[in-house]
Amino acid sequence: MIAIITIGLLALALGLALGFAADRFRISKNPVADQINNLLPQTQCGQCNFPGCRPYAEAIAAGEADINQCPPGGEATIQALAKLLGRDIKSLDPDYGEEKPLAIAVIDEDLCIGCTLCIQACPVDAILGASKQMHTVIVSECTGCDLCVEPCPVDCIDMVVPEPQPGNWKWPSPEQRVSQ
Amino acid sequence: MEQQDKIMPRRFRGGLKLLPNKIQSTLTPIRHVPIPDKLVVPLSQHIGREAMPLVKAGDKVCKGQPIGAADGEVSAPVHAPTSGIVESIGMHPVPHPGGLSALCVVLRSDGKDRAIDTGLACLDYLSLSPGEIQGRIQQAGITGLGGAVYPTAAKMSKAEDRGIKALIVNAAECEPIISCDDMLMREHADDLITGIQIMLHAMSAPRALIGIERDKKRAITALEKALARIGDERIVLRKIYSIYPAGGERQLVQVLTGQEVPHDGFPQDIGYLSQNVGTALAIKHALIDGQPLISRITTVAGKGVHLPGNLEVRLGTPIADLVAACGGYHDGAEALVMGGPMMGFSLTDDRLPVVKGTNCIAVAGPSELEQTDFVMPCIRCGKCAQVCPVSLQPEELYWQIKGGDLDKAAKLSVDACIECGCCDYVCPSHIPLAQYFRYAKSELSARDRQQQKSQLAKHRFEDRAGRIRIEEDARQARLTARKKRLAEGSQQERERQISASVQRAQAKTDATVEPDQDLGE
Amino acid sequence: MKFESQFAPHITPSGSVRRMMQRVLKALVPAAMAHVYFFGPGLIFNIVIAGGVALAAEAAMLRLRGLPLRPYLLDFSALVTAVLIAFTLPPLTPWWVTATGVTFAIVIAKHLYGGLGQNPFNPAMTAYVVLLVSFPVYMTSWLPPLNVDIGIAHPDFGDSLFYLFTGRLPAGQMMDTITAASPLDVTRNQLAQAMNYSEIKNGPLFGNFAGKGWEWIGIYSALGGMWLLYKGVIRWQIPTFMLLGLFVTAAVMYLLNPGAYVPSGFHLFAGAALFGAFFIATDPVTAPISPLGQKIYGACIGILVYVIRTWGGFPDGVAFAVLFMNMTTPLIDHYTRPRVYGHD
Repeated sequence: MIAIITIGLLALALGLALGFAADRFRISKNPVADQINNLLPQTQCGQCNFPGCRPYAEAIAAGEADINQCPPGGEATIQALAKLLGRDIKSLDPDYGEEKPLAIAVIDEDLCIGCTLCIQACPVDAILGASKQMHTVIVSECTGCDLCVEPCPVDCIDMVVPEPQPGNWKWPSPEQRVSQ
Repeated sequence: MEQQDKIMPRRFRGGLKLLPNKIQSTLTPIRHVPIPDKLVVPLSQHIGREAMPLVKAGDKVCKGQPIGAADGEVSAPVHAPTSGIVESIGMHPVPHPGGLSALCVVLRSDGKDRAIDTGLACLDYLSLSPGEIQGRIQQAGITGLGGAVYPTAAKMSKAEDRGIKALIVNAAECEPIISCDDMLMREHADDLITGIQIMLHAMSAPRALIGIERDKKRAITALEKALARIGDERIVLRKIYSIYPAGGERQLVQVLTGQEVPHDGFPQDIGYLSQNVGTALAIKHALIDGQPLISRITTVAGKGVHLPGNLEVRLGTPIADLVAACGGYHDGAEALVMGGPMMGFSLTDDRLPVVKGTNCIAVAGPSELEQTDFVMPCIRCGKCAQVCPVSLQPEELYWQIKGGDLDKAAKLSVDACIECGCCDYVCPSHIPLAQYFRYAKSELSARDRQQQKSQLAKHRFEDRAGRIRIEEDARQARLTARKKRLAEGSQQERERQISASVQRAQAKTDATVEPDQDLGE
Repeated sequence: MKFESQFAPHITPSGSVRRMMQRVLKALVPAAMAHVYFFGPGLIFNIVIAGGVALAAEAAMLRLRGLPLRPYLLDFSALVTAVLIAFTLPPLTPWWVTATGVTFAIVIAKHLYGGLGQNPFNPAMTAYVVLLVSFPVYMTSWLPPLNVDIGIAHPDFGDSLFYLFTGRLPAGQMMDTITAASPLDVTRNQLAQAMNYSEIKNGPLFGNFAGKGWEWIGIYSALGGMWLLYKGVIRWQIPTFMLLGLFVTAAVMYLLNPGAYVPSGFHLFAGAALFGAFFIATDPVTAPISPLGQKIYGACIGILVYVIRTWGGFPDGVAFAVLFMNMTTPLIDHYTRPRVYGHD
């Protein structure tokens, strides 16, 4: 009898303490979404079926999306997200695309008609140009999201994988070498 | 003249006592390689941005004429190694571990080797200010010749703000086989001391410490004699134990001064500037002889060539010419390495040109090199940790990198690794440890760059979204204001506004139609 | 001319796992000779059986795991484990006991944890402990040294071989009549009977420093160990600190109460202390890497050996001490990382 009363009182006390803590220490924003967003590649390509990286980050934080839906982020992003959220590492979901090397948009200037449709489509303002003026892609800002290719009425935009430069060349892992 | 007969204490844990293997290339004096018919001069032979081409196909150039201009603060100009005609400027394979190509000036030599007056020479260099000397060093295209090829003038100007306690002259050359610095000191000791004096003036530094391995007896004698002749008390010779890799910049600073270079900084941060002896000699050639950096001394050695030795060679010369000057290949020459056996990288073709950083070409002979592909698992013997000169634990780093956890490797300070290869050499399981660390470091740098790029893209995206929102709000505001005005105003007012709009539109159409009509006439 | 591309360093590596293991085997030879001299040829049979079973078990596991047989079998690591187990077994251990122990060591303590380099516990000691707990009678049936007369008959070569394979002794002999307790066992029992050390050491089983025969095996192990130190196969921190830990703890206890404890010298030369210091505790896979870590590891093993010998349930504590400290190796490694150049 005494045991029941004691445990009951204990449960009550702990419950009150938890409720107090939940109220007192509540976090008003959603910092997890910010942290997730920082890990995403910011391509804003929409391949994850969300309109940009921030909405996808919020969906992951809310538990509405899985962590393996981002092809530009690839393995590295999945691993980083898994580590942050304490979830299992999965392989990239092929329904959302496959991991490809970074490609840069290149406008064929012979074909460009200056319609500005690609400029409006680019999520990071990486295309320079104006109405009836030549358009060109600022290579250093292009994230390879592919969104400019569709709107172009004369199909003058190609996605080109650039050659490795001495400035961004990486050493291969010994394991890649052995498997060759 | 102060001399130090005792040897500097070791001061760093680890390192290896390797067989120097340098006698093969120091038996004969420095030979000259004849100027080839065709030279391929890369425009990026240094750390930093590629030089911008100053010439085009068909131009005639003289020896020492600038053919590439420095692009930005961390860059260096490139000069024509001999006189001739520029055949073309294009992408050619250059010495690079990944076999990449870069922009090169292809020069066809006319055999006359005519020089121009570069205006670099100033015999009375003390009359120049340190800034002016640095300017001439930059003009001469001088970069670090010990292998790191950092533009010397940029290094000096970064250091000048902080004040230099001492100039450290790196004469250690601890890696096996390489002996170009040794021969340079034996044959050009006086010129070297002059170069050091010019550097002291350029840095306003009070003294210079020449760190040299105690095994290099003949070089030490030559330097001591030169110092006695010139009699500059600021320059001091310091002997160090011949332990690999005591000649690495950070290790040499530690041995000579007892202080450690902070991991996120440079020797300049603790008041020391380190330069290779080859760089010092190049500075003398520039300031005293008026010759920019167009040649260097390179060791060619290994069992794969018949007559190993040291060669003075013009930049842009194909490596095949160097091997020919060393008696040609041995049967069964197996590998071509730029640099020494511990830190050099493999070259796949001997038609690649010599560049500013080519301190050594090692040609491995038959069975000199047993690279076993079979890698045993790590047995945690700890030998790698025993020999690491920066006190890392390679075995722990290896586990993390193999498991894909590069962030943990970064936390364990993999960036401190100097890629010396000591751990690799002692590993009983033959694990390619140095390669794992090189991979991890370049992968982490790439991730950092990618992260910065992502953050920038995020800001651009957010700015754009903001701009679109503002435009949209302004448009909405205008629309509501107009609707309000229209609703409040009388019927007449409305008609007046509508006709005004129609007139404006008409005027615009007339304006665009008229030029066509003009053209039609 | 074109060339193949390789990763730096472009130099033939200096050592190999095989050479290290071969050196360990060579260093065990003096100790093995002493063992045979004092206790008869039983050790040789045990080594042969253990070696054979080890190689067979290793081959089977490698085949199951899909790994190439040749490089792993030729690296001698299975043989080293087998020989070390053989040293821990009494000379007359039946062949199936040896085989069980070795199979357990290779299959479970080594391969099931991931194979070479991945086992957290010393395989030889794991096997010894498993056998000790499973077959306590066989594992404590030590023979007295051959040159000691305590009224016990010594089996000869043929008899030993026969017994090993058939489990039958010559007529008229029983296990009780040919085996005796080990010196450490005797010491504990007699200390418990309130004899003190000066009385104990005059017993027939005791030699100049400690147990007769065992002291010499210890000394020869130490000699082999010094050679390994010289060749760079093992490092000095673990053996030195283990022996120091043992010595100092024993000295302190003996000074406190000479009547109830034995002096340090005895402990050093008794049982498997010296053997363990140079061959068991220095197993690279299960020991910490950093010098400070190794010192802590060694010292704790030494202290634990004393504790188990004096107050624990088994006569010799080396195996348990080593296994216990194996558990703490990752923790020691984590906290004893050296400071990296240029970092704080």
